[in-house]
Amino acid sequence: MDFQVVVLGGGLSKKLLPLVSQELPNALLPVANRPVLSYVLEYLELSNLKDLIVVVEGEEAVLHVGAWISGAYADRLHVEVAAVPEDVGTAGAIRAISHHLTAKDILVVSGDLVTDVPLGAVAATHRRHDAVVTAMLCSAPVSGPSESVSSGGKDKIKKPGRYDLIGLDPTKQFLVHIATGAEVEKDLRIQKSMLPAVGQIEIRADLMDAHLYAFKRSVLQEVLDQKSAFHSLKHDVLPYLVRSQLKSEVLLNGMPQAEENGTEKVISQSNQQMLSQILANASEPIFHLRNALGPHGSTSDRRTHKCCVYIAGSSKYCARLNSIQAYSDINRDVTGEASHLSGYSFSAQNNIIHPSAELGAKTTVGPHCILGEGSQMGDKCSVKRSVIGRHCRIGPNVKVVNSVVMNHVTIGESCSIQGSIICSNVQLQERAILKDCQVGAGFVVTAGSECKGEVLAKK
Amino acid sequence: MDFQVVVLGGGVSKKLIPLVSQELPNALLPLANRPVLSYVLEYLELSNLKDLIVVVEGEEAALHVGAWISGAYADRLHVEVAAVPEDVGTAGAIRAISHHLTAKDILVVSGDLVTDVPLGAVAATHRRHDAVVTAMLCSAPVSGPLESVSSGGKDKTKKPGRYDLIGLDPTKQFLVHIATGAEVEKDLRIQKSMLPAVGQIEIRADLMDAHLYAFKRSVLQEVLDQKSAFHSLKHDVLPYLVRSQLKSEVLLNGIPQAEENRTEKVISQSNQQMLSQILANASEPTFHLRHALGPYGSTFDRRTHKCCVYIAGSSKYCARLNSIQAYTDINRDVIGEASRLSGYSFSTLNNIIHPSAELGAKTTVGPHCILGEGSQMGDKCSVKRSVIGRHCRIGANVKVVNSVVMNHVTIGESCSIQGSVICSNVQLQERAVLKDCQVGAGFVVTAGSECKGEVLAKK
Repeated sequence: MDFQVVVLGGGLSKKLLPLVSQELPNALLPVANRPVLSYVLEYLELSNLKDLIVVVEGEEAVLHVGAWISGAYADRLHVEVAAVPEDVGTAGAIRAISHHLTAKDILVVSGDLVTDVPLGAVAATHRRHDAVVTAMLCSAPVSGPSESVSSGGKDKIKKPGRYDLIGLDPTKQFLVHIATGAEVEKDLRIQKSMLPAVGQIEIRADLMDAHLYAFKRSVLQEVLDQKSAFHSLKHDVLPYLVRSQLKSEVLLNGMPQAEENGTEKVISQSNQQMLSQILANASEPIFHLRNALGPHGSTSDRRTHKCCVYIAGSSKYCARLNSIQAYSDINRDVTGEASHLSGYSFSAQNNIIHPSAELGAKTTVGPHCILGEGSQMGDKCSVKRSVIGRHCRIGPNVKVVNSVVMNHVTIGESCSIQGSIICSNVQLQERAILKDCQVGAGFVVTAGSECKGEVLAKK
Repeated sequence: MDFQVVVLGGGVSKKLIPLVSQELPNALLPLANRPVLSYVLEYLELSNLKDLIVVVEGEEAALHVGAWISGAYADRLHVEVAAVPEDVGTAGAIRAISHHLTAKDILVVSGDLVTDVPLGAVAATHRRHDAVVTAMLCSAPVSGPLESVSSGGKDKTKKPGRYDLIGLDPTKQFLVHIATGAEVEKDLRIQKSMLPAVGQIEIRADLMDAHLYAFKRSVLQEVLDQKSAFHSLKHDVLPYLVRSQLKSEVLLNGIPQAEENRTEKVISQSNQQMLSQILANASEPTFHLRHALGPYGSTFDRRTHKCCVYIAGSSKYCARLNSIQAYTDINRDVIGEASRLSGYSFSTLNNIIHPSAELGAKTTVGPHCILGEGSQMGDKCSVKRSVIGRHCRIGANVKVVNSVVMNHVTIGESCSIQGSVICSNVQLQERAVLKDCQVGAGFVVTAGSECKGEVLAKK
């Protein structure tokens, strides 16, 4: 398929402090001991998309990301890494690399996306309806709403999470309304003109925008040029296109709209689906056509454009690494229920212990665990549902449960770590007890400390 | 069932002028030569509801309605006719007769409703969920949106009709939002707190509120007492109950809420439906219960009340006589597709000609027509899809198509009447041509007049 791919790698997200730093930007944050960007790149490679542009915010972060990509993918993918200033937003990022875009359709993927939804299905949906934008939606994570700022358990009750509010037409193929909870303070507002055209709108609060969009390039560039105040694709560009889809100002000077363009090339595994969909579409006109025909069937000079959705099946995994809670959840999922994503071959005990790792006597590593290269564990340790990075040194009688330990961490004897994230080069001295904590890179936890629900980082 | 019934008979509606007058209020407007109120009363009698209160606006109108009820139903129904001042609204009407209300549940029916939806099903829905209100909904009429002020064809294009916007939960049993188009000028606003509780809201623009409600009496009286500014049941009371159903202030001092009250008595033909519904309900808690349990299953002291809906099947007839267009449509339906409602036995020619009517030579009366008692028609007349009332005198060569001619009308020879409504005691002189007109009671149309789309009435 002739899509061009833009991967939005982000920079240093405030929501992920203290896990990220200039040396470790968002895109390189390890999930099951692999940078999160590697999941996106391999996902794209699996769909035979090898011409990519990775946009990173911040000059220093882009050096690290570029160096890593050169080392890992130089022979497999053609990746161009572009730096944009910080705080330009996703729309600004696209503007900055707009001169690189030449293909008919542009695929915009968030660099923090971990998914196995077939990308060909999204592309087929986009091409089948000749949509100006197609958004991928998936079920909201059961662990809690996305974009929750705080990672503490008690805070969740005080601040109920913000939902994406998605309005769909009865066939569940088109977007009628989209707003994130942040934009809606009290009530949900829906355009009234949409209702007579659609006839019936389904409002969903249980779907999440996966931040994966297929855009028609001419429309995307035109909107970004005309609306220079637009800052975000998700918050500005997409709602604008949805709102205006029944009275389209876009495409007035663009290429003429081809209804039901059946000759577009799609990958073969979607041919059958496409054929049955065309037959289904023929039996009932979509609401864009009904609206364009006017209330009494007379043909008005009214243009419409389509905003499509692809709703991922419930068996597919789809998550975004955009909060600390999400980071813990995705690490657990990739070593657990969605282990097929990690690319590792799990052992008979359903865990992964690197051959060079050394385990002491009576040390147990439970299922859904990963022990990285060159790590050492002392006697009588216990690891459950955790990921331990490379070259860690763990003393005897250490207990690690539901945690992520990154590379080069030193843990003294008789420590206990539960539900926490330990970044690289951290030193935990003897008998430290951590529960629901996040420890930033290079921090030293003193002997005998007991911390609960805290964020520990160097100032 | 121990429901008490309140029939809102209205008064003299401005929307139905010049068909109605002080002598002929809304409730006595003839449909297929029967007053529209008779359809409601027989509908209630069919459901074994014989203890009724009919509320009429205006003293003079109440006298006429009371006299008619005494004459027609003295031996069959126990009907109490109450007069209320004009312009108190439906809520004010209920307030005025509030001292009569003693039963546990109150059924409020609009006097202009023509329907054959089984009333037991509405009652069963109300009792099964122990709802504070249950509203009956039906499909919007295909002839055009209701409450259109103008009856002319061209005006409909200029003023698009106003829709009821109904929000339902996924099971389509509960009301989540209700607003008429008049209340929503630009956008539809939905309470945001409703969305996390329900998870999914379906917005329908193709349903119509039939203005038939079952209320819990204690709730109804409490709301009417506390909110003295409320004027209308449909526009004020029902939206208020819907908005507050997740944070109920009602019932704090009232009857304690009994969830799934299974001991209520319902009529036998709903027992099977009720049983299967209880089993279905047991498998999934309603969103009220999920909301009351709070986000983590902990029990909050949070009260909810339920606003239910009953959606009539598409094979059932349901219409309200609230505009001239609706009057014409219902007359046509009652002698056509929904002729079972009229109570008449149609002849083999699919029309009804009273035995005492006299037809001249070569006069034809087509199917879907009614000719009333004591009417006379001259030679070479033609009647198609029309209703002619009692004791009319129609001359020779008269053509009547798609029209309603009320009682004691004199029509001269060679007149032509199409798509019009002729009220009582009208005299059409020779060679008058009427098309899409409404002629008020007692008017004289002069010889040779040609009127199109006009309203003719005495000043």
